[in-house]
Amino acid sequence: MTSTLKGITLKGSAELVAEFFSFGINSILYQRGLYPPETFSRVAQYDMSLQLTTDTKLKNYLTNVVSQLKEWLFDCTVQKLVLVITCLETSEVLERWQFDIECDKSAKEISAPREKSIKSIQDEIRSVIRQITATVTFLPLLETACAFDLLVYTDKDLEVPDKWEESGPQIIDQSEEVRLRSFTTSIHKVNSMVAYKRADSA
Amino acid sequence: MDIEDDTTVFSTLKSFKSFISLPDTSRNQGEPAPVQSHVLQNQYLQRLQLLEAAEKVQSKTQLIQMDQEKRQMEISHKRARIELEKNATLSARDFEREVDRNQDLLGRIRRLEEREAESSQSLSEKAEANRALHRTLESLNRRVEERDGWLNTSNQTVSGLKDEIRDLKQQVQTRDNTISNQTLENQGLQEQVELQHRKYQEVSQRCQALQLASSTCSDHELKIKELERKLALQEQDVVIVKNMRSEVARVPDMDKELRQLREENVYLRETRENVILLKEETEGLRRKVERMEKMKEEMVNVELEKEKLSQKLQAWENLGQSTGLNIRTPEDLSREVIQIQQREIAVKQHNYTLTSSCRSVERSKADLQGELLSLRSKSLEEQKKRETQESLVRRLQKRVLLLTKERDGMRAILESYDSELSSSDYTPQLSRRLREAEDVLTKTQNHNTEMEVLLTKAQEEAGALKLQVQTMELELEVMKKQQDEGNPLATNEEVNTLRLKIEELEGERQRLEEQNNVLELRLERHNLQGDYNPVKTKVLHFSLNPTSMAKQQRVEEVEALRAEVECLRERLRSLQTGGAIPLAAAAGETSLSLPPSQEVLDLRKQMETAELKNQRLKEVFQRKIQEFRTVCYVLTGYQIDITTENQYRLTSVYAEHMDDSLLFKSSGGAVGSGGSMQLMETDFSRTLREMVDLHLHHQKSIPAFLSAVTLDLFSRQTTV
Repeated sequence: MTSTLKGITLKGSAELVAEFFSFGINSILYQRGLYPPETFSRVAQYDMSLQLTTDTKLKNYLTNVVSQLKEWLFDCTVQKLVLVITCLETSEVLERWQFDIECDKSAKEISAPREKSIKSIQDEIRSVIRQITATVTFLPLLETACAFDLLVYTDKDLEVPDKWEESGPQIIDQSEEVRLRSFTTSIHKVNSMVAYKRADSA
Repeated sequence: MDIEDDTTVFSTLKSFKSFISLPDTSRNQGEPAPVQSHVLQNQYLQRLQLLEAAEKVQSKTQLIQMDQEKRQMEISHKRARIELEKNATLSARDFEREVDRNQDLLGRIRRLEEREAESSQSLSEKAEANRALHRTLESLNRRVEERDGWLNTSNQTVSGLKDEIRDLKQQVQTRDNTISNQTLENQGLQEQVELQHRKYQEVSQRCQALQLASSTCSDHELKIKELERKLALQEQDVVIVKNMRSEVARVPDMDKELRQLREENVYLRETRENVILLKEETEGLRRKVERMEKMKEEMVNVELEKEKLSQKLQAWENLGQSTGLNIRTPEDLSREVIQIQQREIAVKQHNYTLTSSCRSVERSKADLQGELLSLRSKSLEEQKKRETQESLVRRLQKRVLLLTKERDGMRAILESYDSELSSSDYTPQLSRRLREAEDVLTKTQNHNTEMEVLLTKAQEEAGALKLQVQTMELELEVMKKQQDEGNPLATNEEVNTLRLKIEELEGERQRLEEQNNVLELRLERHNLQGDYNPVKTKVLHFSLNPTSMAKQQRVEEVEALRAEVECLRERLRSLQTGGAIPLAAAAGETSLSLPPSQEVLDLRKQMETAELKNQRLKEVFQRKIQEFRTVCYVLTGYQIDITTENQYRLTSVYAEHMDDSLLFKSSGGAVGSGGSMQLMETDFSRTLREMVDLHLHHQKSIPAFLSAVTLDLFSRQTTV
């Protein structure tokens, strides 16, 4: 974890946010049943027990994405992270979990750490993850076979790294949106929201 | 009970007595004569009744007594019964105990009887055993006697055997003698053997010695070879040494040269060091020179700058003279500048204060003008009010005058009427005149009031209009004054246009605000849905993401499934058309053939075995048939071929030509079941007409014919 005694630096904030995304994505994959529950194992984080996947391919994919995301968070070039769930048969997008990232660019110039306690950040993250778990109750069931993808909205002039490519925003046709809680590390602010396809629409 | 009885008796006695006393009182009171007898009768009857009642009571008491006695008897009876029952139970228990004891005793008696019986039995048995033992004893005695007899016989045999033993011992002795002789011979032979051994050992030793010698010889030979080699090496060394000597002879010369070279080396090193030092010096000097040149240039530049600066300084110094101020040093200049700046600041402050005071003055002026306007309007209003009130006052005064006049008139009329009250001739006329005058009065009064109302209205309107006019005049004056003062204010028309513009702009602003809100909501919605500004952002994702991989897998699965389905359909079609060929073809397709079921495998195996059987049977039949045919040919001399249905061609062994054959045809079904065989005409059969006539027509025997033909052909062959 970051050095917590003296406050939050840009690097520490990037690490915290990347860690949150890693656990949050795992929680969503477990809750939505995209992978069988027996492939998940319980770990303790943020004073609660969360599910982490043990599937090696998935783990590799997530570590690749999260490590790249950490770099971009450090550069403050990333604007959003979106987890898109598509139905395999019809190639329709059924759900979109969107995390808006607002970065305070003044932290790049001024390297003094900011006063915010790790505990309060962890509390906020915990409430966000709890809310994610609770939203599952009103989301429509995913009955068909689905797969997920992670999209990152970055600045236009950013150099596209190896193994990454451009893609469309994959917006849901006729969606309902719900805004969820947000948390802030005083350098990065993460707003979360979920959009799902209306159940009555064909 | 008796007490009750007494009480009852008492009560009856009391009642009786009371009853008796009654007639006295009744007598004392009333005394009608016939009543006495009645009374007595009644008394008698009452007494009787009382007696009866007393008897009843007595009987009841007796009954009660009896009941009680009965209960007591019953209780006692019960108690007696209980006691009797207890006794009965006790006696029953005693009886039972007695019975049990009885039974026990009976049992014991039985057991004792049984034991007696058993003991008697045992006695008898033992007696029998005794007798048996006696018998055995007798038998044993007999056996002993028999054994004694055997013993005697054995003793006799023993003696015989002893004689034999003696004989045998003698034989043994003789053999021992022979043995000893042989041992002696053995010993002699052994000594010879030992001699031989010794010789052998000597020989072996010699052999070993020889071997050792040979080995030493070989070693020596090896040594010799080595020594020869060494010799050769030494010779080489000698040669080398000789060469070396010549070289060694050169050594002192070499030493000298070495010394010389060393000295030169040292000298050269020194010179090298000197050279290095000198080089360093030169380099240092070179650098110095460079630096000096740079310094020169710098100096030149510095001098130039100095000249420039000095010129500037002179100019600065001349400034003081040119400006006329007392400036000699830059400090004075700075001081002057500061002073000027301060003056400027003061002036500016003054300026600001003046402008602020000016503005405040203007504001106060504006306020005062406003106040003025208001005051003027107020004054005008007051004036108007005053005027209206004055007009009211005048009207009222007029009215008062009119009213006083009316009153005087009325008074005069009344006085006239009062004076003329006595005369009643003019009353109707006077009353008429009164009424007319009253009507006229009322009409005039109404007219008056109406006119007054109209007047007031008109006056009010006029007052209002005057107010407006005056206010407008005031404003106009104010505006004119302002225009005269020269403030840039717009005229009324411009104000109006500006006001209209302001209203329009306000309306537009509100509309734009609403639009802004709507657009912001839409933007928020789009942001939630995931829209982005393509100019500023772009969307990236990892190439190897789970969705694309899952899609690929799906596509591959679908393809594989389709291919499988196609293959299965082909198989189905082929299976429906039937045959083992498609199976073979399907077996050729390795990847997608279905695993055949167990039945199919079994059937295939069965089929194969059946085919094998068939083949084997065919082979066997073929062989057998061939054998049979050859046997027939050999034995009968005819080769029988079936050309067509029911036609048989026979060719003889001894046929002269290959085509000589006899044709037989069978008619009427199979040959064996009664169908006849007929000979057909062939070239060969024509030559055998005689035999045909003889054997077939006359004798009607085909075998005879055939055998005749063979004999004939055989005879022909042999002769030929």
